[in-house]
Amino acid sequence: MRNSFATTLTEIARNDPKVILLAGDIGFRIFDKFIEEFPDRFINCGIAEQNMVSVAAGMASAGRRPIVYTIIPFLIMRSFEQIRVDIGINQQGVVLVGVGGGLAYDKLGSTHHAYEDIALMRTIPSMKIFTPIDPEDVSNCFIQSYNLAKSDIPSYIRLSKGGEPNITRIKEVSSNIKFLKSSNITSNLFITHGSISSLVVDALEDNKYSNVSVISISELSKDSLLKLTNLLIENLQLLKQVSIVEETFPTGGLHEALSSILMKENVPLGIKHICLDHRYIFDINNRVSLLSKYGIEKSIIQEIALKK
Amino acid sequence: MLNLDYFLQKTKRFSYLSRIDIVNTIYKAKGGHVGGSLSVIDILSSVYALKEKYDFEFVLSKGHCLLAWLVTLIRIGELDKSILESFYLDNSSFGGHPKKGSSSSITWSTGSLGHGLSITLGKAFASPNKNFICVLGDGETNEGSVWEALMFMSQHKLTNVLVIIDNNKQESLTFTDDILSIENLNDRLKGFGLKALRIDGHDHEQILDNLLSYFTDRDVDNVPKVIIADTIKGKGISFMEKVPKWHHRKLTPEEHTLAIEELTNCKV
Repeated sequence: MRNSFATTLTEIARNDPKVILLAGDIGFRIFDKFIEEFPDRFINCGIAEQNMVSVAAGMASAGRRPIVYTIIPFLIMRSFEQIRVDIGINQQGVVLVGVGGGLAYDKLGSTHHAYEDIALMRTIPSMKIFTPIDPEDVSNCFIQSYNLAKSDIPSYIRLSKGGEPNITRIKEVSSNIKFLKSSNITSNLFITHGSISSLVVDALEDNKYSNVSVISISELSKDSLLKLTNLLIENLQLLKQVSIVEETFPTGGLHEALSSILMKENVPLGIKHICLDHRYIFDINNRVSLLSKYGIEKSIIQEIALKK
Repeated sequence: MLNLDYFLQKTKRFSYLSRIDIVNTIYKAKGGHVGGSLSVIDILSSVYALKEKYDFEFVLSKGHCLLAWLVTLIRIGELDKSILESFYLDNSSFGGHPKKGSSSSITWSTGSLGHGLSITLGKAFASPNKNFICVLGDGETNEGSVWEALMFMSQHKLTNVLVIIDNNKQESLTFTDDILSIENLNDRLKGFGLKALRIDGHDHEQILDNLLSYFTDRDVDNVPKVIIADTIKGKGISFMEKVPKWHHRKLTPEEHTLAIEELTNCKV
């Protein structure tokens, strides 16, 4: 995902001299091409994320298009008030790109895990939240972010790390809503976002899960959620079970967002939630093992998928 | 040739009128950040007295002293004095902190401390030919983000930003020295690779001199400058000067009469 971001960024920067990349001493080698082409448009702001975010907001107000890149806890949690005041309250089209969504930095421990970023960003009015499912989707999401920034709309893109596979799309409902399994909603539906989508698709590969559908949503603002809600309402009679799989804490993610819309619309649809437990993780282990131990286990997904 | 005497008289007149406006408005609004507004007003008067001659963008990082900024904008005719009638009242255009767009000079919403300098640096980086002035409080330097910003300013040699620290040596509850002292601030700034200039923040001539050298020779040594303006919180009103409770407070009718009397006695 990191490389896909760097490639798309470099392409956009070629056509827009206003684009400027700010990084918090992160991104070894991935921006080599960008730096080679635009040495004056890369600023390593150092390990000083609060300043970096506000500097970016100041730049945006002066007509530049700043892209801010670093590891999620430092970009989002550390600088939350800077995002709130200087990007939110002051309405600046800054693109925040965080790396290490969920447990991507598995063995680096809880300080580097990102369980709460989506919940926090959902509280900022006008903030668009993108959780691309794979490298190809990163490009799609980043282009949208860049275009939104031109209208002073800020966005946050949650990347995983590196090495994620591209996922086969069965059907695209819109640029941010895609069928990853089956081309229509079936009675047993999974909804997912971000790079965990590949784990969901993998878990349901076997033929015995042929009656299951998987939809991904890679943008979590109200418009996209309403689109998804309408899709659910249209198929309400058919739906027997809906589950959301997301690599976040139980609080403040897609599950809460979608459930509250459904409640407001009086749609009688309960949604299962497969997510990380609401606790910090101290085990030193690989991402897949941590996911399975702390809530996102393939077998749970498979068990739910077999329910008629 | 710049007629310094003209600007000096203008500045002094601004300060005299603005102090009275500040006290009257806080009396009417039944509260406000009076101490800091009175410490920073001579700086604001000097900055805006030069507005007719030099162009700049101004960021008030210590946003709680908005009232001092508003009365200064009234002095230069950007705002009408009638805005003070409704200051801080329900449905007013002006509350306790600067709101972006509420006047043409107010380009950023501040109020949370430790943001303004970083913002100014971002703007200055993007607009190298423009002048920027950012005013911070000494208490504001408690915030770590201020030091991040000072490092960034030094690293990128953003000489188009002039930082002025309103060093009134007090914070909300007590004296800065008793909280997180910065009394070797000159050395700290020098250590950061910045040029620290220490002046009397109530001496209009000193402030004007330093502002003029920024406007005329800002790039001369390629080192960004920080003016430490030594000021007195509550300056101009004997019973408020250096008394912590006057950080934010309302005035009784008697205090108001006495304050206005003292200020009027200093007529220029």
